[in-house]
Amino acid sequence: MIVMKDIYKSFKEKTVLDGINLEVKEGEILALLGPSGAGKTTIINILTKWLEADSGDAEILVGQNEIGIMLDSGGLYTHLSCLENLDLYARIYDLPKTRAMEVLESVGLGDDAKKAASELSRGMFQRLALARAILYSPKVLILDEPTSALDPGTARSVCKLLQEIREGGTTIFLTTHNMDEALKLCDRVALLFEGKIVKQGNPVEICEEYRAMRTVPDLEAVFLELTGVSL
Amino acid sequence: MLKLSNNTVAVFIKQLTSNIRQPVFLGLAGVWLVMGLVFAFFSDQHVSQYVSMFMVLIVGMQLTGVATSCVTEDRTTMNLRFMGMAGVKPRQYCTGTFAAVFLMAMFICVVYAVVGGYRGTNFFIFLGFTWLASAVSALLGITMGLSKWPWLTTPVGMLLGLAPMIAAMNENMEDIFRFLYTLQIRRVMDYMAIRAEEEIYEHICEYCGEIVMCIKDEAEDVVEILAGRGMMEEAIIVTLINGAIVLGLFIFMHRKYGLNG
Repeated sequence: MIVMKDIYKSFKEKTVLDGINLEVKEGEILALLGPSGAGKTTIINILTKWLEADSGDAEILVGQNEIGIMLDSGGLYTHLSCLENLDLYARIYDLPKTRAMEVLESVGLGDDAKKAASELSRGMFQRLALARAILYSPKVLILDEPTSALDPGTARSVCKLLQEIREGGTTIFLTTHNMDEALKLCDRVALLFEGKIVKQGNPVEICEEYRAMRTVPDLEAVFLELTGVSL
Repeated sequence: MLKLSNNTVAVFIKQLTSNIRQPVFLGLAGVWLVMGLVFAFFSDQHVSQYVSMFMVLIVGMQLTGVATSCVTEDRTTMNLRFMGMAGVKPRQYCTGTFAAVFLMAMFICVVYAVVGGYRGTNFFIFLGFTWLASAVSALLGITMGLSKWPWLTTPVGMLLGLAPMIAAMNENMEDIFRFLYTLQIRRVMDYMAIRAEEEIYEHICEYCGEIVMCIKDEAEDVVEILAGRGMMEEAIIVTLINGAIVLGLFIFMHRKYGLNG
């Protein structure tokens, strides 16, 4: 569903992506793990055609209007209410009038529908961004740090929601720093470091391979062993 | 009947709601109108003089900035790209944005015309000119917003808004700025502001022999020439030419950048 072949990208002298090969199959959840500056957002920008790669092919095998995107920041109008933010896209996608409210309730913002986005906490803002991304039931969902500002309880409910969305057949590509989330939620993970994917595969299998299965699987330890840098 | 797409309507509603929630444009228009009334109260000039002055500032400077900021807001929040991905065509986006900005401008022009004391034919001439100029300014603002240089809107808006005032101070400047639609609008409104109170006569100038528009003074033996007979025609032609140039620029930017800026 998502294919990246030999992607190279440099900004002036600095190589940001150095031969990225990645594939996300239909109905799969893949997490891209890496420290800040590893090139995660650049990958998302290239996938969504917001940025052109220097070389290589990046493709999402569905129409542009079947991709849902949640960015780490931005994408919402702060002076509009939660409902108005979603209504804009509900109208564009020709969805039923009740759909926006339905999605707000699914991310736990039903009671805050009329609140301006500027009045939301960081975690609520992030849930609103997620609501916007899933509003039109996209076939592919691209999420940049979907749970980074959430408290553990809300993060768990968002993960549960993502599982349900995946069960509906949606392919999910996400970036995260949260190892637990990657282990529990994802079918596969790709560890990104200095523009290269240093390892990819099933998270539990990767942990076993690197003997990081102490009492619980530990992707953080694997990353440290592979790169010498902690996430 | 004109059928608008869902996308155009969605953009229109969003831009209108945004401008009502952040009432910079409507608020400033209100403040300037109050200032005009206060100035008129403390001076011996009719309120229409101040209304015409502030109307030009609104149409030339403020409206251009508002139209640009509608586009730049969508750019900075990445919504322009999201909309593009959702299938919103550049023309649909621009139509929705233009309609919202123009609707607000139309409303403000009506309020100014009423408060300025324009009645009867004058009212409709006032609206005709200000709406035409508003359409040009809104399109110019959107064009600047789509370009890579939206910051240029401020100096361009200042030039459009302040040129009539600068021209009033210097004849050479008036000759230069007469090719700007805002100066033409100001000339028409000044003429209308006087016409609202005085009876206008067509008069054959004893020096040049041409027909000119004038008012008689109290003694009714001296006439003051207001403008040449072709003033209205010149104002319409200059505004339309300005509009055509802006439309050309808009088509260029729209084709070159689309919604990607």
